[in-house]
Amino acid sequence: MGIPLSKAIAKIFGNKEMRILMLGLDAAGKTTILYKLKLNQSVTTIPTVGFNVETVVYKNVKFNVWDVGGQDKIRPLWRHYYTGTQGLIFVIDSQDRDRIDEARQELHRIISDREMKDCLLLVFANKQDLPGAMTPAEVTERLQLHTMRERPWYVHPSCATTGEGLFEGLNWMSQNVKSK
Amino acid sequence: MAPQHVTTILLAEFDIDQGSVLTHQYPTNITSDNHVLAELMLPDGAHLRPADWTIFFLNQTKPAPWNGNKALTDNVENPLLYVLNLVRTNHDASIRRGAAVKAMAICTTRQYLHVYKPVLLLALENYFKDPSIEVLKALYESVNSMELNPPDLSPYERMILRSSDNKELFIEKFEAAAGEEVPTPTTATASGKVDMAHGLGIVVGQTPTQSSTAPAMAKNRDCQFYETKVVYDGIKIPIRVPLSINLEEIGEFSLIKLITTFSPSSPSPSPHPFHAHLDSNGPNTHPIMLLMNALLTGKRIIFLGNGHPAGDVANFVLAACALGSGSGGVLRGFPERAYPYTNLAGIDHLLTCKGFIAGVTNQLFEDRTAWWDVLCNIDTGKITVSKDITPMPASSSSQNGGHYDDTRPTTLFSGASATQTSGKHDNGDNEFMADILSAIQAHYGEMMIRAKFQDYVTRFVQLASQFEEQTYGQTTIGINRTNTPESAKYLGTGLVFTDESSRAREIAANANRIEGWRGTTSYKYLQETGKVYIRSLNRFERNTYERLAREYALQEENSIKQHYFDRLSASASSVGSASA
Repeated sequence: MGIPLSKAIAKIFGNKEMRILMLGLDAAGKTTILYKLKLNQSVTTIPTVGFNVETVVYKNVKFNVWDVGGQDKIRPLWRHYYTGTQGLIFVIDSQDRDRIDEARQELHRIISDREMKDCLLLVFANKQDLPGAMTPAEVTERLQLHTMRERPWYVHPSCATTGEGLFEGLNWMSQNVKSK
Repeated sequence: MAPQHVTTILLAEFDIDQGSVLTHQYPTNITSDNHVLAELMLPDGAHLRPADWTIFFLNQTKPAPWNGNKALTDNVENPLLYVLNLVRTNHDASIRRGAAVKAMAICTTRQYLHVYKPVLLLALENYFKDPSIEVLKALYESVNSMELNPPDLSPYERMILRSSDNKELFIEKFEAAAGEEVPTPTTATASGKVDMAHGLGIVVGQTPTQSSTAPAMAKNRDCQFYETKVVYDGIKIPIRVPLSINLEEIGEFSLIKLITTFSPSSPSPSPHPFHAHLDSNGPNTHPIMLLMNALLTGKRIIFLGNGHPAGDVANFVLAACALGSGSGGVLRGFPERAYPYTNLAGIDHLLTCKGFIAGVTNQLFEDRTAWWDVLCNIDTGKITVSKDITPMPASSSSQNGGHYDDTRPTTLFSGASATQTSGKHDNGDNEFMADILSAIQAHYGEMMIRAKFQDYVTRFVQLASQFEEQTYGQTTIGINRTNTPESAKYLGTGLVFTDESSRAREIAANANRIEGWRGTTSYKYLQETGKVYIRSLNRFERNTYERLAREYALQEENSIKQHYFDRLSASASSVGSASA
């Protein structure tokens, strides 16, 4: 039969495709990140009912980014998105010290799932522009990432509204993803 | 107490801290599974659009009648509820996170739930202004005080009304119904219609009358509908209740849209491995027929509208219910396994169902091939058979089962060469679909297309009955000489073939999907109905024909209708289904 043309081209030019799942507590900035990446614009977002999904192409890598709503009652639905995910972007509101432990619990619950065992972990320490924001080092510490040995992880500071730090994060993802 | 039109009003909102929450149920709680209900009321992507109408059903796990539940439909404690839901997103910079998402739903046992759209719109608007349970109470009271006194139409009369363009057909029944309200003595008006009715053995109700209401009725009345009103919040909202809908036609849908969406302009052989239940015409099975087969044999069917409003996919699911049930008039059991809109919150329940028809807007479902057997993508118009479907090779017992000529060119829709097929594999479906598509192209109406599918499924059932007699020596889904006294005297239903070999050929070509259908609930429902019907025939001597006709009409309804449509439609597709 032969392979479809688009796949053939992708093979020649080394295009990669990555399925990314973006999670985090509600109001962490996931949707703002998604549309900043997609449109390079800061859009005003409202809480996500269900999910948003967009394709972002960066440095020959096609990122299929799923942004799933983060409220408490809808977190049990996250698990349905795990299968086939190559990279997890976990978004932290760096100013929200009150809920960092809640975020840690959720993060550890996600990555302990069998479906997520081979997936890369990128943490955006978001909202760095706000006063009193936790530094990436502090976020790393509070999320207890140092206990995580079997998996590549990376914490990067970001500010979704200006876009600072976002593409650096994607860059790390694309360099560390295993070729399928 | 008169039965309530509407059983419950629901209110859900997307709480910005917690997520989907069911805030109110009025007057009583109908479910304890509040979370899944809230998720269904707040469909995926609700934040992306100002409003979305969705439909879903409740109480779908009710016990089937053959499991000890005596009643077939009525008087079950938890009847199947049809839920019409409106979700709205109001942007408001003054509130935290800039928007409020709220949904209100009406739960009813009536099939015509779409008539409540205007009043639901007003009520949700009111709830945004004043978020209190009083709004639900006011809505509940106003919809339940709707006056509903439709004319008493027998199944036959409904059938005739359905296929008629005469806007004043059975107007005397409307007058009689209205007369009960305002009792005035009256006399006859509509003599011509009575003659026509007599020809078909129809009982016309009380002699038509000249009451004071009559002149007003004749003017601008469309007898397809019963016109009434709901008074809500001081506003009179006109309501048109459809009178000629079949049992399993729910809501407002378009069968034509379903057919045109999934009929490719240039058919190409389907690439999936042969599946005996689905591929009744081998690789050249028309996609709509593949869907029909999937519906008949109880497969897990998904309609996906990636990023669409939930209301879009819901209407496809409702149309599919009509497709499989023969426009809602032949087979039963489709709405009880239909999930016009569902999402990931409902997946755990969905996967416990043996067969379902579900509408989703999340593209994730497309990748999860283990969750479905057949996926219909409303954007691409493609129907895909899952690679994970339980394989069903052609059974060796049915001679013609798997012998399809793969090399045959797909000229079935170009007309000329279609008729000269080698014959051994064409069970008539492609010819039928060609007829349907040309009827749609010629702008035949929705009702005509539905009638053709009702005929199609009727014929399928008759064929299945013959198949059973031939294969198992008896049938419980049809009338024959052994289970009916003096059948020759009264009955002339059933299929007639030009010769014995064409009969054998057609039965063999349908054998696989008939076997598939025999394992489904719709088959069992028909068996139950058939038993009741045949019992009634055995009491024939003691019963008047009229009473019989009114009470146990399902099968005869179809044969009479067949006769009626054969006359009506010059291009009737069914060959040789006749009444003696």
